[in-house]
Parts: sequence; C-alpha cells; structure tokens
Amino acid sequence: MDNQHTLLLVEDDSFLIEILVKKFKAADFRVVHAGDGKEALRKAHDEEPDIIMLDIILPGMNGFEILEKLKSDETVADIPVAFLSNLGQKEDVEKGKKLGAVDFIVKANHSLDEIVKRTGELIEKHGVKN
Amino acid sequence: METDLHNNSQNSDLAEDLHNLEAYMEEFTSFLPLAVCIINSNEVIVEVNEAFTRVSHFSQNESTGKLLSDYFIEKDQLNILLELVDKMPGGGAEEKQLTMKTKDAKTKKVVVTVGPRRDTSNELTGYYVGISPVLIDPPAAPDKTKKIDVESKQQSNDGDVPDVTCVGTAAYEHQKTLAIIDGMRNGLLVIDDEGRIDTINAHAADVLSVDRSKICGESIDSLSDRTELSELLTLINANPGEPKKIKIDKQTFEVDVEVAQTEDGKNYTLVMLHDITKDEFIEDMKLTFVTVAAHQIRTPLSSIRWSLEILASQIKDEEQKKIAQRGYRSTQNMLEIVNALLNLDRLQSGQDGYNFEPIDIVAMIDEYADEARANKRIIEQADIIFNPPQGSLPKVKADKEKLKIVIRNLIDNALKYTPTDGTVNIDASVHVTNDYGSDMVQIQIADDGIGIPPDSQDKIFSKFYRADNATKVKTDGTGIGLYISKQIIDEHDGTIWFESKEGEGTTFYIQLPIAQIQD
Repeated sequence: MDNQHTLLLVEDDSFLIEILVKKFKAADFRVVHAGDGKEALRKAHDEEPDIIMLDIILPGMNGFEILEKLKSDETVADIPVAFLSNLGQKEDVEKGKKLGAVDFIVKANHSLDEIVKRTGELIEKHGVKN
Repeated sequence: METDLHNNSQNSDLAEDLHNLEAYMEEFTSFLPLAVCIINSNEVIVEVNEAFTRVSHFSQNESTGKLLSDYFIEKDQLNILLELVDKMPGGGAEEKQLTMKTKDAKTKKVVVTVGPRRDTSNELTGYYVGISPVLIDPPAAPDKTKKIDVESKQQSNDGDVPDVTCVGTAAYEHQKTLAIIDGMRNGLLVIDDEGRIDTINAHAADVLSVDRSKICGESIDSLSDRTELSELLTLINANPGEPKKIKIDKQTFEVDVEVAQTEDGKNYTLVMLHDITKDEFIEDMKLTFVTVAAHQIRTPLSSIRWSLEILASQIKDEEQKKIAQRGYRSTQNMLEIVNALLNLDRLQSGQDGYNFEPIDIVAMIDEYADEARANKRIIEQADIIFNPPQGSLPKVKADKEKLKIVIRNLIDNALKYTPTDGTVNIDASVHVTNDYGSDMVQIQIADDGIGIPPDSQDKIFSKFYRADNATKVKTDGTGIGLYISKQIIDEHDGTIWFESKEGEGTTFYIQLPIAQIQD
C-alpha cells in the first residue's frame, strides 16, 4: 500500500512491544522496532519512518539523549518524534518539547486506541511525506 | 503582710538560711552514692539524684514525671510498701527487695526504702525513696555538683520572701513546678514585659545553646548577635499569632508565642519550641517514596490496562467481555490513585507553579461529565446531570490542569459515594457578592449519597482522612482527593465547602474568581 505509514517504536519492554505492534499493525501501520539508542539511530536512517515513538528509560542512552542525536543529524532531523513513556512530570515534558519532540504521551493515562489515533494525527500534522 | 516581712530582717535571714540549706541538701543528694528519688502522693517522680540516674540509666529529665511503679516488676509489692508507709504515724521508713527495670532493658535486684513526706499539718505530700542495689556496683566518682536550680530559685525569690510557716510548701511547689517545666519535651522560654528572660527550661537552653544560670535576667536582645537565632527573635518580637515553622541551626521548630497575664497585671511572653525536625524528615521520605513507587507502579499498570483493553475488544462471549471490562475499569481506578499520589507529592514539594489563565469551566465540567458517563456502559453508576446556566458564564481565573484535578475529584467522589440508582446534580452560576468582594463563579455538585457523618465533617479536608462510612462503602480510597482539592482552590483565592447530612447526601461548593480580561 502506498500510503501505509511506518512507525519506529523505541521500547525495551518486550510485552509492551508485543501489544503495541499488534495494535498498530491492526491499524495498518508498518512497525519497526528498536530496543536501544544505537539500534534506534541506525533504523531511523535505514527505515525512513514517518514518526518515531520514544521511551525515556532505556538501556544505555536514554530517550532524551536519543532525541538530541536525532535532531543533530540532518538526514533524520525532520522526522517527527514523540515520547511514549511513563515519566511525565512537568519537567520531563518541558525538557522533551525543548529538545524538539512533537508530543509527550504518558502510557498509563491512555488507551491503546487513543495512542494509535493520536499517532496518526501527529503524522498528519508534522509528517514530512505529506 | 508583704511589708511586714520586708521590715523583718529576722525573716529574711531565716529565708537565706533556708536557701543555703536547700543548696547544701542538693549538693549532698547529688553526691550521695545512694539512689534517691522524691515522688508525690500520686507516685509520680518529682526529683531524682545523680545516683538514681546511674542505677536506672534514665536521665533526670527522662525520670521526672514518670510513675515510680514503671521502674519495678513487682508493682503490687511496691504498692503494699507505700501503703505500709502511709499508715505510719510519724517518720520512719520501710523497705523491701524488688526487681528494678533499667533503660537498657536489664533487671536488677534492689532494696527499696520508702519514707513518708509530710507537710506541717502532717498531711502526706509524697514519699522519699532510696534504692540500694543488692549487688553494689562500685560507685563512680561524682562528676559535678549542680547549682543551676539553686541559682534560679534565688532569683525568682528575690524580693519576695515567703511566709516562714509555709516555706516548706512554697519551696516544694516551686520545686515541683521547676521539675515539671524541666521535664517537658518542648522548649519553654518566658520573657517578662521588659524583654528580660524570666525562665528557660533545660530543653530550650539546649536548643539555644545558652548557659541557663547566666541567661536568666538578661535581655532577650542579648542573643541578637547570634545569626542562627534571628528568625526566632523576629518571631518573638512580632505579635503573637498562629504557630510558625522556623529553622534553628539544622533543626526545624514549630514556635508558638503567647502572652500570659499574671494577677498583678504583668504581661509575660511565653515562647514554646516544638522540635519537628524528625516529623519533617519522615514526611520528606514518605513523599520521595511515593514518587518512586508511583512511577514504578505505572509501568506494569500500563501493560495490564492495555492487555485488558485488547481482550475487552476481541472477546465475543458477553460474560467474559464484562469481566475484562471490569478489570479494565479497576486498572483505571488504580491509575487514578497513583496519579493522585503523584499530584500530592508535587503540590507538597511546591515543584509546580500555577499558571493562571481565563478558563471556560462549563466546558471543562461538560467534558469530564461526558467522560464519567461513558463508564456507565462498563459499570453501573449514578446518573450525572449538569445544568449549565442560561446564557454564558464568565470565564474563571484558573490553572487548567489543577482545576481539572478538582472537578474530577469532586465528580468521582460524588459517584463513588452515591448508590447506582442515585443522581449527581451539577450546577454553575455567578455568585453575586453584596459586600465589597468581587463576584465569583460558583459550582455546586450535589449527590444523594451516603453523606458525611457530623463527627467527620471538620476533618474531611485533612490529608489521608476518610470518614468511617466512606471506608465501608469503598475500601480503596486514598483520603487525599479532597485535601488536594482544597489546596488547589486555596491557591486560586477561591473557596471550597460543603453541606451534608448523613444518609441523605452531600453538596460540595466551589467559588472561583472571575477572570478580569474576557476573550
């Protein structure tokens, strides 16, 4: 399908990955997964995702550091990045937005349906391909 | 009578002799290797000597005010001994071998000797108690003799020589008062109307690190070069008011300043120092724990929530679907509790500033009422009826996120404590204030639920408080929703209150200021 969107999901909890991948696939997304920062940076280059969803607490580089690296690399800097994390205090949200994230979604506060819907909206609004 | 006494040099000589004798007795008892204590007729310890502290391992302050029977295993034997002494017509003493409990939780066999203490009319005022170990430890050399009390006594008796016939009782009463004041766990400082320190107890002297024998009679301003005490001195010089929290060195105190008037019209300033360092520390630890725990709990809760969401959407069997939906709702409840704990932490630590802007509170209530009603397809609950006012309501000056917490708390509460066939009625209006205050927007959330019992009504906004009937209906509340709500509404310069009748229902009211610039 031509207008199928690609999502790069950066997450280290295997169960959450399973659920999210299943849900996004059911909503006709192509989902690419990365378990840590290095893999995320590589796949951001190779897979040309429409959006990147980033967890914050990850092995090695944390989500904020990954975002900084992504934004300093011209070839991928335009890809919209949203945080999908269970942190979500005011400081975290402000830090994320300052570094250039387009959204900050607290996992526990949203249903899967809401997350899929919101991801679609973010691509519509910030996506480069449109 | 006072002038008589002043003119009577014989009397003052006698009084001086008595003071000297008292001082001598104090030195003597503190030197004495025998453990001695004085108890009143209710068996409360009034005074102990140095040897007593060595035998019991409790300090003088710790022992004063305790019951003598607390120190012995055979309480009944001690009572028999005291009764025996009661019946003795004159002086004399009785003794018994008893088992004493020391502070380090050891026991030792001791011989207890008790003699009566009587006033001039031969009324029993207490007992002298001597304690000699059966196995005597070699007595340690007496470290220092204490003179502090003697000096302060002379001071307070200065120019006021008591009647000779009641010298014993007056001295005893004075001693008793000093013992009580000294035994207090709180610091006490008494300042006369000329700003001089009249009395200072052991704890206060310790806190201010002053020498008790030197500071009495000195002006309170003599402490003004001590920068760590500046906060305290400002408080003392200010008008008395609510107790305030201040820092002295690294400790935190709640300080209460009161003015007391004596019969002769003299004003004394009483300064009470209550050490809350430990309480503050525990409070801090609790909040840190709450934050960490809340984050750690959110992650597995997300997994559970999403799993149940998938199940609820895929299961065809109606009964199983219902179970999955209920599980989903419970998980949501749990998340609400976790989020409430996080909110509490942030409000308390003052991390969150308030960002006020004009808010359409009708839209906010509408939105949440819809959200809350949506649960009705998953679980049974009371109806929510929102009656927005005719025409538009002015916007309120509020922090959007914080106000949302209040609206959620009040609506969730109303639903929680109302039977499923009940109704929650929400109204909004402009409350016109007749006096010089400005108009406010008033929100009213009325339920026909279980109500708040009268004896719980004054505590309902306290942290972690839950009324008895509420804990019976819902076991899983936190008792912080209303506490948080009140904090938030106070920050808005608004008012929150309620009217309630047990078994009939509760109506919560909030009033918020109207935003000045309308857009």
